[in-house]
Amino acid sequence: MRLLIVEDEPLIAQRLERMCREILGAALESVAHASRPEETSARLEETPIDLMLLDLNLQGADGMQLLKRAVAGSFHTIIVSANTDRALEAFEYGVLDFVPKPFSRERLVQALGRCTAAEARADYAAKYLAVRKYGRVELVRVDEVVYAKGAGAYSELVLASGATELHDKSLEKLQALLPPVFERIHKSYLVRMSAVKALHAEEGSHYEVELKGGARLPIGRTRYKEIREKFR
Amino acid sequence: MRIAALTLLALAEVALAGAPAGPAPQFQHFEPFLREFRIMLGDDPRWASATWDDRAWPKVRSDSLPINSGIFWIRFHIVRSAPKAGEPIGDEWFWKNLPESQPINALGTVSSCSYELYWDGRFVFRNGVVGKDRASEVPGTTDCLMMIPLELIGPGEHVLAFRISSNRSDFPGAPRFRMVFGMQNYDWRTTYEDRQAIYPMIGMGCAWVAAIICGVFYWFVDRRRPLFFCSLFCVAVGAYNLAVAWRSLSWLMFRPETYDQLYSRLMAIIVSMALIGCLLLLVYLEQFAFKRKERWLGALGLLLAAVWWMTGSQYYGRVLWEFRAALALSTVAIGWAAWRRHSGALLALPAVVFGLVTVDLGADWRYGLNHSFLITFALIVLALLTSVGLQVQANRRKARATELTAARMEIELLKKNLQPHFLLNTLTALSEVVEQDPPGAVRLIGDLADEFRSLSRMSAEKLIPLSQELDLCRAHLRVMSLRTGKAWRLEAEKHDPAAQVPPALFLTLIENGFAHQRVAAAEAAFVLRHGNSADGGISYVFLSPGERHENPDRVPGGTGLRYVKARLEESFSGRWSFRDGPTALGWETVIEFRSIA
Repeated sequence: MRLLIVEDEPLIAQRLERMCREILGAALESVAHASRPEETSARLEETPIDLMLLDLNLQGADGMQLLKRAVAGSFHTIIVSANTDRALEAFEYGVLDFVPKPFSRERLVQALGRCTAAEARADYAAKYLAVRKYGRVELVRVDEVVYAKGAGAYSELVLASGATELHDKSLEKLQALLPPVFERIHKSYLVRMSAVKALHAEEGSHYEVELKGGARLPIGRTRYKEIREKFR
Repeated sequence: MRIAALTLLALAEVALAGAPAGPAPQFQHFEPFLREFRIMLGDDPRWASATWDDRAWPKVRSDSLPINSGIFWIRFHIVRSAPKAGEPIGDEWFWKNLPESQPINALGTVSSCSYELYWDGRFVFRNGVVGKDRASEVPGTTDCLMMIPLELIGPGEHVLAFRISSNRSDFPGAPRFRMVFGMQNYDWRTTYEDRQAIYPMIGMGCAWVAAIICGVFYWFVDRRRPLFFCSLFCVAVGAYNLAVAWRSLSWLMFRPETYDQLYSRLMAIIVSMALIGCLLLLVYLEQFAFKRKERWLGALGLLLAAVWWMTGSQYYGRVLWEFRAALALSTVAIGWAAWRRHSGALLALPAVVFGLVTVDLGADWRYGLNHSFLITFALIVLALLTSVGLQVQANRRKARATELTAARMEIELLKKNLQPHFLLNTLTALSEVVEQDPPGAVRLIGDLADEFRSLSRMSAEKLIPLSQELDLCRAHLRVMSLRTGKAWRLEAEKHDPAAQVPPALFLTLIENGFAHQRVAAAEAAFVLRHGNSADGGISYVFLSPGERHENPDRVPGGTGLRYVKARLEESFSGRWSFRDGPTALGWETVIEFRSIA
């Protein structure tokens, strides 16, 4: 795992790094530090990362602005901050966890666990998904997303309007942030169940969902039974 | 508001221009015009006779009777017709045409002399004792009413002979005096004089009650100088009314006022009115905080002197114009205050304008000004008390707001004490130090305790010694040094440790420095310089080191600066200034304030 710690207090950054090394062990490939927003942007451009530990208050700067840019990235973000009153707001923008300061090793283990577990979900689902568009970050309301299609390291968000948006996160990472109304029907599809009109079983154990908009998406064989139960 | 003030001023000017040019003496119930008598200096009992031939005696007007001329006689003939409906009754000026229920039975006089009256040669009445010189004369009363035997006042011609002396008149520079007559009904006249005392007595009572109210208000409620001067003003108004009412009171209740006392009483009235004028103006000068009061009072003094000079021997006219002069100058002062939008000016203006428009001599000049004087006085006091009451109310609101501000400031300081972000980050750093450097953790806990102890000790204070504030700042910097890994310090140059400053004033500037300044070096110093401002107050220059980091999302004038400014306003209301800006060395903040003392 490649880790970026964004924290302006050296003692706290040192503590985070020390604990992450202890928890992740050999799984931790690299650790980078940044103490200011512009330094963070520079680090992100230098090296791709898998996880950002972000403080919301960086030398007087509001980390929420940085957060809005960060959640558009392909990596997960975990907030480590004393500003617990902004936790819900942070979750709305799609962070995986919010670790309040001062933190214990156990709490950090729990947060890092969400990042590594395959089916882990955030405590609070995101309300927005940040997408990069024409060099800037735009927010897409999760309510508008009908389904997401995996496209390698990226995801394609299909909206109720029929428009599509490319999201930098993989389908797995997206699933961790989206609310439970989204079901993984296929290794490449994440669908809002309320948008499903019908299930179809075709010849040759081929299954599909028919969406209210008319689109038909494949269902993984191993997931059909579970999806059918939920659809009832 | 300015238009309203100008309009009122214009109305006042018009009213003043339209007011009578001077007092026209009205001898109500007496003869209204000057008469001619026959006069003879000397003393001869035969001159009392109705048949004495006085045609060779020189004539004299009724207002030109001599003073200090020993004994002299005046004689005049009057005719009374037989009263018939619709017909004249002869010398109407003398014989009042009274209803049958009030038959003529008395002669009333107003004069400054002692006299004996002979009616158709018969001795009728003695007012005082006529004497050839001051020592031998016993002064008669100014107002005199005598019953005349009915058989003497029938139809036909009558001869009135007065044996007179006026050796005790104190009117300075007045070689002559005036004598007025009128035939009246005795009971009617007595009742009339009784009634004349009512209004001045009411005025006196009201004025002195108002004086007590203002005095009590001043002493126990609010020590405002306008209230003190208003109390004196009311006392003066009461004294004026007493002096006016004395004429009637002495007639009815005591020994009637003798003519040698008249001048003293008139002087008392004139002086009390001058005092009323000065105090009235002073009340407004104090109420509206005029700076050069002596100039206004000097102007009033000049006006009063001009009035004195112009009114000559018209003593009641002098009283009237004294009051008008004070009202006119007060109107100008209040108008100016209204122009400057001074609270209470528009309340005060109608009272003085009303006085200018309506106050005049009364119908009976012997009793001074008309009833509008009393109403004007009431309006003036009412307006002042209302205005002061409103100001007291506003001050109490302000005091309550100040108390709330003080409470809010205390809460703000306690919030600093318990600031979650600072505390939680410090605890997080402490967690690491505890595990990695236990002795360092003990030092950090000690520094943190020092800071909290200082904050809680000063939380309820409005001002604290600078030394205490510096201790707090240094404790905070020790904590921040450990947290940030840089060596922070505070350098205080030329400071007075005992100087009083609002609590957490410079601590807030340090916190702002950490939030908005970036320092690349491993060590840096905040610098505090103490000096004197241009206006004699205290000046502090505070430098936060490093380069300013402008956060585009930051709201200008954040909570830190609001706290600093609120604290300065709380302790140095309106007497402080705050400015800040970048310098080559960092961010400089200049705070200047003046203590009340």
